[in-house]
Amino acid sequence: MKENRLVIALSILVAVLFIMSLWVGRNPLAIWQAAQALDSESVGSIILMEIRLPRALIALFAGATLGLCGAAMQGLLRNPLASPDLIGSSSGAALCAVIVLYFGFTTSASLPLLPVAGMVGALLATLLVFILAGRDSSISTLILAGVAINTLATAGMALLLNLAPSPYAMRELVLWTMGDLTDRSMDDFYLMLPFTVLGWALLIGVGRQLSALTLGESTAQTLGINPQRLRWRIFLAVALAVGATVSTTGVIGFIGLIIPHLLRPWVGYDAGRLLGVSALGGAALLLAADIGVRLIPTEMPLKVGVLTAIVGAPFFLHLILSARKQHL
Amino acid sequence: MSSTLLKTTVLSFSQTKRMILDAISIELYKGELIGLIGPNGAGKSTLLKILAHLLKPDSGQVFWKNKELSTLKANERAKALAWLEQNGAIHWPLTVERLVALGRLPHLAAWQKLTEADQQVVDQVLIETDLAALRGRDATTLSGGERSRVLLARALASEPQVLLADEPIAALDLGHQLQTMQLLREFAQGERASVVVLHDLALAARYCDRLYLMQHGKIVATGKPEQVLTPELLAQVYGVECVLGATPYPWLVPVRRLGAI
Repeated sequence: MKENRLVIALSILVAVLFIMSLWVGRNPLAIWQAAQALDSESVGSIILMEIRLPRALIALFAGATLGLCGAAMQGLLRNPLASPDLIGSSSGAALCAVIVLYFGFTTSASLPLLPVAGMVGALLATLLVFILAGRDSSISTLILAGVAINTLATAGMALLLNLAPSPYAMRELVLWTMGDLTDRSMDDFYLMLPFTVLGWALLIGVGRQLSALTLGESTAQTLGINPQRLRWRIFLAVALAVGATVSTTGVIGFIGLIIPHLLRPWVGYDAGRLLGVSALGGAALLLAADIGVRLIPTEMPLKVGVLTAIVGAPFFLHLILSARKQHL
Repeated sequence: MSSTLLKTTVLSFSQTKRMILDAISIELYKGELIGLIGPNGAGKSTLLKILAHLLKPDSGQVFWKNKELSTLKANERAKALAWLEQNGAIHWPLTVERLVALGRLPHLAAWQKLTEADQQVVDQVLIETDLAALRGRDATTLSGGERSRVLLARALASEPQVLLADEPIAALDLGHQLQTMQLLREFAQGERASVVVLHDLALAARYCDRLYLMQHGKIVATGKPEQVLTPELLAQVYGVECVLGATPYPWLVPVRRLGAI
């Protein structure tokens, strides 16, 4: 089967990129030697375990989340331009994460406040866009609503960081809006992991319901699907997974848009079968982009979100143009 | 054993204070093809949606055999009833075959893929609806008539016991109108039955067992086609003077609008 081969190929690609991500960096690392001497205090094993591994793991999980959630939102809204970053989920999450970070609420370490704030922000932003645009909305309405929410969230972030006591706040703003995977620890990964996985788990079994939505909400309902319950389930899943991811990495754009779009023809445009492959594709793309920023020789280290935006924005334009051609 | 498949108590439904269905009831027996006819805005589609459990009536209930329809599990309901939407949507460019196969969803257990038997049903339906040659085509690029046949095929692929079809022949050419009516006629045999919203009264007279003539949310007349399709009733409901005949097949010619100059 064509789809099984695709799944195998993508899995191999993800595995290879994951290992490369452990290997590539400012200091080339002999992974096997470092891995064999894990309990020792060698520089190699410290770099591997405390710098490379969390970075690769976060890229893997964040990429998979963005691809998966992009596919789920596109299927739900039956719109190839829906994705967590375009319709505001990501920037909502970032805004709430910034609120928590810069106003010192994180000091009560007993609660995982940062990811929770991200999730609340993502859910609120997604709901707002949905209320503004409505379901079955046209592409332009959805994007306009997304632009409005994105602008609002970014402005909110800029305002807060302007007022924030930290002298580095403006630099941090760039980090939150452009996404970054450097200097993350395993603690960061463990903080995002449970919510991300919970979000994924909520999406188990929605594939067939998304396929049925191809025929519209009413017909899907007569096929035994509850569109309202499905909508809430996906909103909640996206809020959990994207909220936790964004509060760890900042907003990494376009992965949730591009990956489902590229992979859709490979699964016969079936919205349900798109979910799994999009998770693999998203993981591969973010791992590759994160290796890319390490390999591209720039004076200052490039942020991974900048790279995905530079590649993604022209692609987005292309999508809008082809959508216009179809609808006019 | 009762031969009633669908039965309603007295139904009423209103939307934004406008009465859309005003105290009507309907009954469907095994082996029947029922036509819902009447002018635009008479409430035919609304009635069909209530029968399909898509709308909840303000008062009254729908019964499936002896049970209230709303007490059935969603999946049981999906296997019992198929609803064919008027101008139904196709949101992604699936192939015709994959789109028709969506009709098998209620029959699949969670995670189960299409079985050999499911595939046979899909193949059979594609042949019956004259779509075998189009099976690999992108369903969103089809003509209006081809598209409505694909959606009919989807509904048939669900193998329901009752098919609720909203204007299934509206976009079809003469040949495919006849083909679709024959398909519906063959479908509504034995244990199965169908309710169809139609505007072509001659075809309704020829293929349907019984008609419900609706106007302003009420049922004006019901019975065999020759009892319902009379010049008097048509004048009253449609405001049109008609000439009717029955040989060699039922025919109907609208002559002029009454009250118009």
